[in-house]
Amino acid sequence: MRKAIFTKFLIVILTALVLASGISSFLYADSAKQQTRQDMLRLIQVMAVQYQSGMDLDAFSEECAQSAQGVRVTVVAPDGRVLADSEADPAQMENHKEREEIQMALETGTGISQRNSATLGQGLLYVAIRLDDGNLLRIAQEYDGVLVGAAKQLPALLVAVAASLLIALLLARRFSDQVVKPLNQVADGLDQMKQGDYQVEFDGIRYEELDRIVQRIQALSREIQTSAAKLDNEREKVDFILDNMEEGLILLDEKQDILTVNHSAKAFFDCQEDVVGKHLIHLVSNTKVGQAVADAITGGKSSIFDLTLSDNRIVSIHITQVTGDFIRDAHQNVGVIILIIDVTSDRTSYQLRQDFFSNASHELKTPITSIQGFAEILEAGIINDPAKQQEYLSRIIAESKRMANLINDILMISRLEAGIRDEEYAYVELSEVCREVVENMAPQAAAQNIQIEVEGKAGLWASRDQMHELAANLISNAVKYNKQNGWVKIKLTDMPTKLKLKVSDTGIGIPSESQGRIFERFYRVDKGRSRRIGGTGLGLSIVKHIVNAYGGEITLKSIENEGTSISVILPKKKPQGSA
Amino acid sequence: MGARSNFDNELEQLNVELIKMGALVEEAIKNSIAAFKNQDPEGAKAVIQDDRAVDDIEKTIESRCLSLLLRQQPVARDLRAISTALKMITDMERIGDNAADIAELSLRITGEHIYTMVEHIPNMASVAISMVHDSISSFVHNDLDLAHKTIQRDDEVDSLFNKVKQELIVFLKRANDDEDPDRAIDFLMIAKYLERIADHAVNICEWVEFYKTGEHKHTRIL
Repeated sequence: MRKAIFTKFLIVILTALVLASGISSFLYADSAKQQTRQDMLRLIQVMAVQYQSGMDLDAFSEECAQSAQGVRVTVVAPDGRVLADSEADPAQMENHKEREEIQMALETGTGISQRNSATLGQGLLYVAIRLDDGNLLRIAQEYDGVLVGAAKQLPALLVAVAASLLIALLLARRFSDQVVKPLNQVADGLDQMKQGDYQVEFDGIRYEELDRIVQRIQALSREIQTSAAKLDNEREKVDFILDNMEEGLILLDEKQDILTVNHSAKAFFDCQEDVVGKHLIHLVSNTKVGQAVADAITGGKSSIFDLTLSDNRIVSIHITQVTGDFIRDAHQNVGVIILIIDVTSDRTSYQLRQDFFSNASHELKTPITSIQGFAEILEAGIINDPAKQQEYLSRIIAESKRMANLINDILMISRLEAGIRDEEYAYVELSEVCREVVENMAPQAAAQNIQIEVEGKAGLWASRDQMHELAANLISNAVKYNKQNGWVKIKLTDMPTKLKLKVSDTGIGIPSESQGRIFERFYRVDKGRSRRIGGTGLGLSIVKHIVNAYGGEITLKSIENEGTSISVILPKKKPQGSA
Repeated sequence: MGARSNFDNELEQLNVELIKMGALVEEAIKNSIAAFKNQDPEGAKAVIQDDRAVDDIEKTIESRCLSLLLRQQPVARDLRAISTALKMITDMERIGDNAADIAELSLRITGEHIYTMVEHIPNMASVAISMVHDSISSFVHNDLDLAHKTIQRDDEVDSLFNKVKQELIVFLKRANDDEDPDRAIDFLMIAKYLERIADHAVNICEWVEFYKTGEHKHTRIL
């Protein structure tokens, strides 16, 4: 564009220059010719004054030619005969009567003519006048005509043209730059917009016509900016949701190539590489998933199934066929959405509950079987020995107690699982609770000669029943699984916001391989021993539940055959609004 | 350019099928060991049944490779990719067969389970499975490092195999009735099959090495 403008400028300037200089030089040459004629007329009149009839014409013409250099002087008789000539021999010269200037001079007194001289063979201007005695005086001067005269100006003209052309060139360049500059600015602005920068300002545009365009562009760029921002925002929102949802999401096209995949989905299948645009199999190689996806694409069949991942997590996989125009190069617009949900805790808690039910029913069945057995024996009346009868009855009672204990413990656990209620809270002095428990345990402790010490004082806001349950379970375990002549130490430590209850014993200890499992329901290190002592297998599980319910911590240290020490840390916090 | 990207597309298709076949054999090993552990005859029969799927996909890949060779007449790296794939599927097919063999053996094993006494078998299985997986992904991702690492893991399987053998020797010394030695031999065979599977995975890795470098077991072939 700049070039085009520049060239056009140049063409205009060049044309103007050529025309102007051509015309002016022609005019100049013309006026020079007029000037020459005038000069010659004046010259010939001065010569005519000096002419006297009957003078030596040869001398006169020589003299005149000498005083006016470069001029040829001829005297011609009225009949055309040449009387004298300053340059040629008059006798040799032909009759001049037919010459144009002579004819004119004969008729009007003066004659002017321009032609090539036959005598000298060059372009000449002739002026003739009629003298007083009828003779004619003629002078001739070299004259090349207007064109040749103009041509003589050419070098100077060329210099002038070149100089003005140079100036014009510089100006043309500058002007074309000035014209193009705002257009370039607009173009640069548009480029910037194309690269995503919509903050385009156009400064220094002084043309009205461009101003409208610029304003439109600015308005458009603002519109694009807002809608791009809106789109960005939307996309960010969608990306944010996709990448922060715990569920994995994969969108596939008809060829099973991945269109979208979120962080969770990649994390589930332990994939670090970028798999967008690649086949699903690069992310999930499981054949069951592959088959289900193929079924969904071809048959539109949705499916939901569980899958165990390599890290043993269980996920539920939902595969659904979708149709949408955005699914690229798929002639049927068919795709598949795979949703992956971590159901490990669901499935394991389900498994735990299943286990709990089967364990609980098994545990309940044992005492019932023995109760039923002894009762049937008594009913049948085969046993007549009263001592034996008494023994069976007390066993029935013992088993019933065991069952009652078990049921109480199970109820306790389900209550704890349902959550504790604040209204049961009161200030509980834990040392008192412990002493109460110790008193109850005194007979069993005495039987094995076990020393029990309670040390320290600490209280907390809690349900007294639950604290009693907690202390009773810990202390009774310490006594029951102790050795002859052993001891049990109960130590309470008061801390600013928490308290610590530590129960240590010199008991049989817990083997290290079992230490991780003793808080599980119905887990017993030694089944026979536990049952003999009358345990339900739920004691420590209840302790753990209570501690968890209060947001506390429980730690276990145990060495087999040396003793066990269990520490419980509970927060003391007083519930708000409670007196 | 068109032909080139067409070839790349075909190669990607080939990759997808190789991963699919790999997943099939991995699952076959996993399921055969699970059937063995849980003494699940149904599961074992399913593994034996599914071996046909492995054979089918082997045929598919084979004919795809041959048609690629015929139609595209690949040279240099592309030729090596296809010949590597051809060699790989043979090894993968053998792995599938070994898994089916394990399943067949586990059908024979009944009665009180002594697998707890040879607890290294599941460990062997999990190492073998991950070796198979890595050998195929080393091909798909052109990962020579992974191939080398996988080759080195064969030692792990070998030492586990020796441990199983030692355990079985101890077990046999204690065995008193007629049935136990028989089962011990079945267990040894299962361990041996797993060891073979690991060897096939090493073979695949060596072919991946050839694909990347043109050398197979340090001998220039192409």
